[in-house]
Amino acid sequence: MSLKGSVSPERIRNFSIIAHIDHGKSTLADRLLEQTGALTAREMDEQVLDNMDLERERGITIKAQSARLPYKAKDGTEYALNLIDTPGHVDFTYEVSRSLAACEGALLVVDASQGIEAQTLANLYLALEHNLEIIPVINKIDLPSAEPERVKKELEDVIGLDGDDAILASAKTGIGIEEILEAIVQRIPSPQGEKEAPLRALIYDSHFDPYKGVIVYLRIIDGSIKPGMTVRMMATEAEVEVTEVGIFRPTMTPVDRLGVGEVGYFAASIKNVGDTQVGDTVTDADNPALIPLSGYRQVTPMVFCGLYPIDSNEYDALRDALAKLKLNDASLTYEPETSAALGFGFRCGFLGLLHMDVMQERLEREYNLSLLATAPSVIYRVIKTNKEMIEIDNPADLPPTTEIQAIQEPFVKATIIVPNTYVGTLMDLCQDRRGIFKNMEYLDENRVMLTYHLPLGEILLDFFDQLKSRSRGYASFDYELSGYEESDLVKLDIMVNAEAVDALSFIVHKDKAYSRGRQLVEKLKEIIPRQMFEVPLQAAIGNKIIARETIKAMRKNVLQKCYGGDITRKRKLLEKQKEGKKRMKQIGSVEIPQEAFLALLEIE
Amino acid sequence: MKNISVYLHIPFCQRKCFYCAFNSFPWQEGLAEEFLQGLKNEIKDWGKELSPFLFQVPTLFLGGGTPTCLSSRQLEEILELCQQYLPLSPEAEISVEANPGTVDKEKLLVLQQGGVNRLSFGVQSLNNEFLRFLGRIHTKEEFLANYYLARDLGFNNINLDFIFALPNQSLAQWQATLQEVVDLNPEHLSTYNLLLEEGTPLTQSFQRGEFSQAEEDLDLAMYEETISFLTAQGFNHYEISNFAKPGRECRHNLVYWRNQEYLGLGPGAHSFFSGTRFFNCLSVEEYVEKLKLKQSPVVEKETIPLQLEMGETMMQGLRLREGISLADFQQRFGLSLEEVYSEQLAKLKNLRLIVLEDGRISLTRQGLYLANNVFQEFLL
Repeated sequence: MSLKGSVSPERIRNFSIIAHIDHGKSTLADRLLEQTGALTAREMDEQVLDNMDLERERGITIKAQSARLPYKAKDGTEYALNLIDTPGHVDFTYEVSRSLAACEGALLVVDASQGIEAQTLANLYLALEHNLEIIPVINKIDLPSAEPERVKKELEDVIGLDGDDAILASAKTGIGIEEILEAIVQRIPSPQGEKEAPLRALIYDSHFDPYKGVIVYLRIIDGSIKPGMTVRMMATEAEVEVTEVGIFRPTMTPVDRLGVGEVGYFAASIKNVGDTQVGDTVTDADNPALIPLSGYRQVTPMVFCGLYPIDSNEYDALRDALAKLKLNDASLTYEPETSAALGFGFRCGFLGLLHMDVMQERLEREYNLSLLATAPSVIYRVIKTNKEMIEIDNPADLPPTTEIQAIQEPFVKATIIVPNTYVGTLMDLCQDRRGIFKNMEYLDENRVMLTYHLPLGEILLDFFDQLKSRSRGYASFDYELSGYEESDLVKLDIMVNAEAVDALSFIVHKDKAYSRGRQLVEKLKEIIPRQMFEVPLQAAIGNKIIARETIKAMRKNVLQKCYGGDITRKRKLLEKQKEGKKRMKQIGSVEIPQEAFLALLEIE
Repeated sequence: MKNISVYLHIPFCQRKCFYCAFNSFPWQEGLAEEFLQGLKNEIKDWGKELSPFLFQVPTLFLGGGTPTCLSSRQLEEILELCQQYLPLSPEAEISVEANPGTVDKEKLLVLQQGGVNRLSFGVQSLNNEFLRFLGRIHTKEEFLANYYLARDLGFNNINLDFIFALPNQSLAQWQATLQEVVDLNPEHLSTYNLLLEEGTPLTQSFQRGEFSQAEEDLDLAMYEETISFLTAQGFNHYEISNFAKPGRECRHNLVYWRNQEYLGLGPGAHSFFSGTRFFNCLSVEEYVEKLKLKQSPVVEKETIPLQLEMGETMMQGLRLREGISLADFQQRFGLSLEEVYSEQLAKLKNLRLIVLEDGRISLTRQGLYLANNVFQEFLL
């Protein structure tokens, strides 16, 4: 197959793989790459497509990856199979939907022992929205616990797919891989598009390359793209001159042009990843298309937290690190923020909890920063008495109660799939988190799908861990934003040694305020070590104290033993004690460990 | 003339006590003999360095382990060698640590003849149940017999070590012990609260939940009681854990607390010499082997920069109730203590943990109880 010219649409198949976490998506992708010789087994570092360390460690895909697989089918024809690996987490639903929009078909991977899970369904529905041809793959059939027949029946009963269409496979051992490749060719339609029409291409991802600038990942719908062309992003209206186009093999390989149906990339010395937003349409600036591709929306963060350097000298380093991460991730937002308690830091916005977690970890790991994160918050809409509406993502910014007419908070539609033994405890959990029951449906005799209307803010607080522990890991969970609603919310302030600590304030439903306030001060009492004086801890709504605890003063801290001439040993003991303190934040005269700022996440 | 104190480490015990984390091993006849040869060589080697025209040794301390688990002959040889090779000053303090279960008349006489003028008995408790709990090899009765024996032989400078805040020990029990101790009329007392050190059998037992530690309030009450009772009985509370009849302060330990120089000989012994801290290998076999091959047993050296030396001077000196003389500090470092540590002093004075008066800085009563918090301020 020539690398130079483009491949004709009849010989292209664009597909992605969708699955619940851990159902074997990445292993399958690796096996397909290996089988088609896109990479030899030797070249393959396990799970090539998850190429961030963090992705590999967590077993999830964060950024979309792509690969062109050359495949000679049984009919003797050579095909170019473009695999677009989608991010596998609820935080990245929009990115997943754009990746799917770039495909004609999808492999729906279901674990032969686990069966259908919440993300299987969420991703499947997304794929069906885009009219994708679905090829069910029942994976891990080599495991002793595999029950392919049960899973087939589930596919029929729950999704309405023909169970006999499912391919039995084991990505680990290679069973069924050939069959999957044939099915991709046979069942997935070739891309349709107007070769002579003005260029229209869908951006489904991008990354920043220090030498070439932003690398834009795209799928050509109509027309073609080649170096030297000036292209325009229809939503952001940015115009750039294309310097390179290429395909993923899976490393970036330049080609002369990309035509209808092809998947690849272009570079154009773009410095700002924000100019190339996922979902935007790329067109020819000199011969623009009239109508952009549908489905674009601007991605907005849903979860916010304050990030502060433990060592205030690292403020500049943190700012630089955020700027660098932002180059690769347009959905990350940050702006400077000052906390009376924590000093100078940044208010950062993320797509969801996992996104937040991953970003924090990357900042600490890749940029060697010690960070203190405040408890996450959603965006609240505050309608003031003067009818003005403001959005706040930091509880500290809430206006005085006298100026507030109403507060609205975001709600989600949550889907939980769980064995029926755990339904009771999970319904209790949802109830406790102010959830409104919507629906309960049996997927088979054992498994139940629950649908709840839940405040997003409640999900941020340890909901997922609770869900997992209450169901012994069997529950799967997915959610989508359903809009804003008014709730009876109040701000709870925490005072340490009679000083309000802004970074510990949070917004909570009035009915929960008392118990959360009590639990939080109890938790803080455990976390904050004893000081040389007594430290009162109080929770307050406005001027009303609703809970109080006291940390007793440390009374004796003296190494009585002398250790003779081994003065170093004594010094090291003291230095170790001191080192522990350095990781703490000094607020007033009280030393507070970092965990205190996340204590809110640990209360039920 | 430069003062240099000497410590000799005897790394053997008849049996290791359950709470002990020091470098000591169960007694082995053959190994002990080899160790002795090694130690002799180390004494000779250092002796050559310490010209009597330049140095004098004001204090010599035999510690361990248990020096008295050596035989009379072995002790005699060591002491003889020290007298022969080390420039001991005529009025040198020569101390030996003694386990009450390992001394007899013959040994005590040998010590006396070897110039030992201070004995330190590790008594730890006068309650046989506590002694068993701690893994001590002696009983209260054995201690008393040997204490009186030493007195009869003429030892007139005796220290007794005690541990308090033992599991289930009441304040009244400790008070009774203190009274009994004072009735024995020792010249010096060291009292420590029970410390669970990493890796010891006692710590493991604690981790298995076999006993619980004294509550902090009780521990503190016992400490307060120790100070007020012993002070009232004519002892000078001169260091966090140490009490002495007037003029009977341990001169050797004062060297550590004043951050002066000393040499440590024997396995695992630490030295501070010419601005450098160093220590010998911990293993007796390795120690023996190295000295046989005429190699230095030192395994690690750390040059102490000025700033750290100041910090260590503070950490050690504030252990003394008299504290640190501002003039001494100025003379030693050429810098004013108040300027070097202005920030720390302000903070600690504000917390009422230290006091500056009569040209000295020292811990307040409160500072004594929270001494670690004070010391930390002077370390990096």
